[in-house]
Amino acid sequence: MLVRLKFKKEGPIRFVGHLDMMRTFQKMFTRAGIPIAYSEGFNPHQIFSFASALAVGVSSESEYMDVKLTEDVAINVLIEAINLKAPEGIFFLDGVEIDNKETSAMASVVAATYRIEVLNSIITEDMLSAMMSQETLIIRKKNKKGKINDFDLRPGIINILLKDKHLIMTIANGSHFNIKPEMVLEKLLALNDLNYVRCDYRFHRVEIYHDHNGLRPLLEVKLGL
Amino acid sequence: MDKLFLEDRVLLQVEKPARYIGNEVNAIYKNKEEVAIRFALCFPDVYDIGMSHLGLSILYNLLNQRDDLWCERVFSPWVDLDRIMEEENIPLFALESQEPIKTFDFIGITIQYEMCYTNILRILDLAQIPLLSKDRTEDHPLVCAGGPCVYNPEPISDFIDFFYIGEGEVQLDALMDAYKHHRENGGTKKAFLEIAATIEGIYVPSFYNVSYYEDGTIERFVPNHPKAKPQVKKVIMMDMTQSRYPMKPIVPYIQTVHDRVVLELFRGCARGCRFCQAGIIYRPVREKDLEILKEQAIEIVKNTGHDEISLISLSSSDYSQLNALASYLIEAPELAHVNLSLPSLRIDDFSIELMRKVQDVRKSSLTFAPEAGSQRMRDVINKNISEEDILQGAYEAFMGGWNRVKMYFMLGLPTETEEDVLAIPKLGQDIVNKWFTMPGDMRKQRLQIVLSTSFFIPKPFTPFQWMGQASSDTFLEKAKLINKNINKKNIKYNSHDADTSRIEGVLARGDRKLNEVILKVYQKGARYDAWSEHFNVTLWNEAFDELNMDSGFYNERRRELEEILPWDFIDTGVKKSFLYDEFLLAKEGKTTVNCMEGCTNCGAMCFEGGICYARKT
Repeated sequence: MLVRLKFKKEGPIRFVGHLDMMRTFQKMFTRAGIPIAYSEGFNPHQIFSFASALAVGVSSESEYMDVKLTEDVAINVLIEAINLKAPEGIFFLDGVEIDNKETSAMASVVAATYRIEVLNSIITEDMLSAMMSQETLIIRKKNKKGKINDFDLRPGIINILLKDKHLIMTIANGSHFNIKPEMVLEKLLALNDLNYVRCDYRFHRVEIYHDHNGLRPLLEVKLGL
Repeated sequence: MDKLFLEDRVLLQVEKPARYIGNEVNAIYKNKEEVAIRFALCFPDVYDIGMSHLGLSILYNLLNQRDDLWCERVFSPWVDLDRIMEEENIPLFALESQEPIKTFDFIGITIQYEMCYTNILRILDLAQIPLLSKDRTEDHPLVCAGGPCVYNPEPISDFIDFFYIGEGEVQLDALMDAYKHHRENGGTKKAFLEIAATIEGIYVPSFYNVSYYEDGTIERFVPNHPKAKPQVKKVIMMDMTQSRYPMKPIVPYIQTVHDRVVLELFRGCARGCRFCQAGIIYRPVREKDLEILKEQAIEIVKNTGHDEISLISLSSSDYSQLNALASYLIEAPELAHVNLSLPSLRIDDFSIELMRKVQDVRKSSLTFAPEAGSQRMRDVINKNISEEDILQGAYEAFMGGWNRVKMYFMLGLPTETEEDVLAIPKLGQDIVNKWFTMPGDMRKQRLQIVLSTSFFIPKPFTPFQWMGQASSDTFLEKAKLINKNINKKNIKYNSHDADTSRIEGVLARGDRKLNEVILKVYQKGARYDAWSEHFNVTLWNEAFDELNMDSGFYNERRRELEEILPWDFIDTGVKKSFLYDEFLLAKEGKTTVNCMEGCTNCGAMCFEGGICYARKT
């Protein structure tokens, strides 16, 4: 049985990085005693994967993962068992059984929405509209081989707005096209001759989407597509 | 707990911020208004190291079993956070409550190695507590310390209010009961030291005076307080099966050095290697019952979710039920996805077979610790393993599929000659030759041998406690000699840092006069001396020079039997005369039987249990 689970990550645990979250979840599943499937081979490991890595210091109300089980378990029973053993700040909200043929959460992610609290910096509507009216937003970005290339952010910014000192942006995420919220902030500030300082902001991920006739939260899948 | 003491701004600047947030699974939270005693349990090194230490986990569990006490963890902030805390005057805090520790009742420090002494001062300093015991007031916590290093507490006696000599299970409760009672009756913290001094295993350094001869050796070591015992006897847990073991150890978020369930098989060691301090101070051997270990393995895996179990002791092969335990841990259905790892095994057919069963041969390398290259030298140190054992063990391992072997040796052992030193590369070569006696189809992979030498450091309470340590120059010459004679084609050679070994040697057998040196070195900026990338020997050399002191007095000087050693007032149960007899036997190259083969009447029988009696029944 393959399930997609949704959880939130809040509080101090937001300072635990992606690789450490993997290890933490492995142990959590073992403690919960759920019938999780293991890979074959010399070094069997639990079969689960996160939809998208969350950077250190970022909280989220909608993280997703796919988990393979060796037997059928009712979703609410599964979630209850996991929540009982989850570390503080991790809470499983919902889940859905998915078909074996369904594209994995990781491979299907196309976008994510972030809410960024502006703690110590000034960002105005005018700054946003000035940025969004540009044809291209070129930044210098290191590729995987370490070479620095020009990279256009503009097509990756799907939506951006300001709401009570919070910047809310929906941007491209995933393996095909990925931009990070701090890239957008950095560019926005650079256009106004300002410097980006990480701790002037608090990042929170609101939602992660795949493309199912438009952007849909990852949990919205139809069985047996 | 949602509270974090450090601001996001700070946490986002440092490496591995999860070191400082607490909140791990199985961390213990209490209502601070409902406890009488706040205890900061401190490991003076970085979180990743400290959280791998079983002793800390045992003490944390033990103390927190009391409803009237909240024990929280404190580690040394890593250098990045250390810098920020200093610049911004941020006080050191405990991980659980995320509150400064300067108002706690106790700071209890576990001291596992001498090179962390400057980190201890750093902890007090960052906590905003005066470094010297005499400068602290009723507003400050009582600072106590335990662990193997406190079997010679004298070099740090100015900084610590009292020492706990022995195992925490025995007296911590009595100590905390006494403190609570004393405080409820309006007693001061200072006055509590008088009560502590009467409890077995507790040493209050300010209740003793030391006078010295002109040559710097001790003339007299005498109590200056009526409550102070002339001898402080260690306290140890005799019934290990009944000892309170942490069934719900904390599960760190970040990767620590040992990220696994640890099962303690026994305390003490039967072997009697003459260089080994642990082999003496933890005597006698006390085993845990097989059935309780089985139960604990299952339950701790359930409570932590770890996927590996490690067996721990000073010499796991000597556990009388090792085979039964290992078979159970391999076969138990509850542990289907849990690996077993087996450190500290002696190399023989049985252990090779066992390791083959439990370990992934492709990934693990095999470790041998012959400690010395020549048979003569191994007899001197009473390491009862023959060249034949080593070569046969290596051959079995190669046939079993291993192609990577690590070997550990010590240089500068008592009576060592050039011949003994050269026996190290020769033994390495003999092992290489063994490899080539295997059929060709067994040798498809490349043989990799790593040979490491550390420098011998005489420690208190060993038969070598009277010996002079070799000078750094001598060490380096010996290391060079090995390097010149090694077959570099199959053997890689590593050598430990000579300066670190020298300073460790000084601190290990130091007296009270070293307090001043340690303070000065600390003030010069020494931090994380146990880490080669942070250790700066110049600071130590400068401190000795400025104080007109000779470090050689402590490490290179040969002591006479008549000399009062700084740690003589501590009674480990093992008689000084036994140690001296062993010292004489060592010089003649004569070995001594181990506790499993026969009793040598070392004195540890005074604890009325363990192997001293088990063997007889």
